[in-house]
Amino acid sequence: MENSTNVVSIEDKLKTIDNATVNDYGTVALNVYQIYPNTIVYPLTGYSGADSETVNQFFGADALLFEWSALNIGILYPRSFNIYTSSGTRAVDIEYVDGNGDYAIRENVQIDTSLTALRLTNAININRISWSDNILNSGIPITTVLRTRDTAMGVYRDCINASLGSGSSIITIPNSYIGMISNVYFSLYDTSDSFIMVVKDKRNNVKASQVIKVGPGASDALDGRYVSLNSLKYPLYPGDSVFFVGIQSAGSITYYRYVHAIVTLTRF
Amino acid sequence: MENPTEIIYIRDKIKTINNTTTNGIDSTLTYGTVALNVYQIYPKTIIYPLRAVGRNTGIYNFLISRDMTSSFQWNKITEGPVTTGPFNIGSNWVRDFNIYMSVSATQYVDIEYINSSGDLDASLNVPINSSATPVRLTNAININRISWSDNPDNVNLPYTTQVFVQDTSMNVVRASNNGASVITVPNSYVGVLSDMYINTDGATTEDIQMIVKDKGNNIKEVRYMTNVPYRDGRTGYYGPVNYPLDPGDSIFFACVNASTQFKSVDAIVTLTAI
Repeated sequence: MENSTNVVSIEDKLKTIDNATVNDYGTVALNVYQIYPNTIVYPLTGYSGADSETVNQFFGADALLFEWSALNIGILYPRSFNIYTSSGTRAVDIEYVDGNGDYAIRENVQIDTSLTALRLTNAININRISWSDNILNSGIPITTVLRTRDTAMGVYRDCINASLGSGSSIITIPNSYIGMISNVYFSLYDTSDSFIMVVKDKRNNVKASQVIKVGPGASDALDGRYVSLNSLKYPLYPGDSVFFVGIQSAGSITYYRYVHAIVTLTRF
Repeated sequence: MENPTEIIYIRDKIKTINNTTTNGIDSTLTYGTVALNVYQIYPKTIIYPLRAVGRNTGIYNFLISRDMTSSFQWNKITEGPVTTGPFNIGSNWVRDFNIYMSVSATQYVDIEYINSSGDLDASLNVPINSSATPVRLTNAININRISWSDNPDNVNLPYTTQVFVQDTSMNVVRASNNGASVITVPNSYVGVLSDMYINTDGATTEDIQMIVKDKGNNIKEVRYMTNVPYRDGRTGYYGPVNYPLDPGDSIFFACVNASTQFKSVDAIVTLTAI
């Protein structure tokens, strides 16, 4: 779906030309339709802690030791979410997939430092969280961290974090959209490392489990380096969720492991 | 938003063909004379090169800007001999700018910038000289590009001549004719950062951060890139990236560790009107 375009024939987007022509049907207007790509682009960020001793560890939005085999997501698993910040009372905008699988957005949701307060209910996943354009958000310290956590599994899914990266660790494709994951980057912890890109369908079944081995070549020392897997471009369908997992135990190390990617949604 | 296309219905951009056609297959079935209209379809984009360079002693997390010896700490944390920082940008941080060049003559520059309302704006044929102190642009959030004007006085400028842009509040050298180190997305546009290249000239790798701040000067992303580039002393290609930017966002780069070796970041920021 690269370079897709969409013809939108919605009344308020119709551009009517004043020009008209007269024919046997009378005066006929010539209409122009706006053509543009109806896309949404989400950054995906997931990481493991500095001491990630669990194998098959889900790369979330916090250094939580959580095995991905226990991660359930889809229309059978609508969740409630805690959303909190490390300082002050703030306001956030939430782009999410609701319990029906549809794209939804809530703006100017007030949050504070309470880790337990419910801020969003009946949602399959939060695809993006950002600071609102709100007076509460003036002068937020650089060290302030924002996180979301589903209350059922206790998994941290999204964050804004100046030290460890920002974004959503799971992206879910809403109804009426298709998706593409691309531009995958890893930060390795050691001489070699292996990751899994996991795609689950709307009913929580594994759709893809692509093992990605990244490690040193004969002469390249890639220890602890940030590497690009270039475009990748894996297709995603409505209801699919994509996330990443580290296969090996990193043991007691000082490096964090990261994954960064881009997920592009295109409406159809 | 890759390669979007758009039909723009702006009256002066409509090209109307005078050609007409008379429809109908015979004299009893005709739709009369029908005008044929043609509309311009094009991607409405602006592409800015981002270029930042720097070397430094003793300052952690320093902004990679257009000043080779910058000691400006983007987040002003307490490590190392902190001098100046942090780097504030957005609708609450409207600045004045000095614009000057490296030779003592009067030349002219075109400035593409984000005005205090967050809109894309331009100021053409602005005279400048080698004095670093006169304010040449006021009330702007950021300058996205500065270039030599198409002016008869700008003839055969020595290739060593450079233009620099410095904000008067933080004294950060943000842009030169080789590119801007900070790019801000204006209202009514979305952006994509792509095609990132990183170079370090020395024998060791560097940790580089890509930082995105929103219009309220809040952190939106700090992407930490460990031990780049792949090979010492070479420019490393870091892939397409394609990081999305929203109206009001500003993007720039920083070096995590203090080091005296030269380093540079090159990237492309593409704006698309929405």
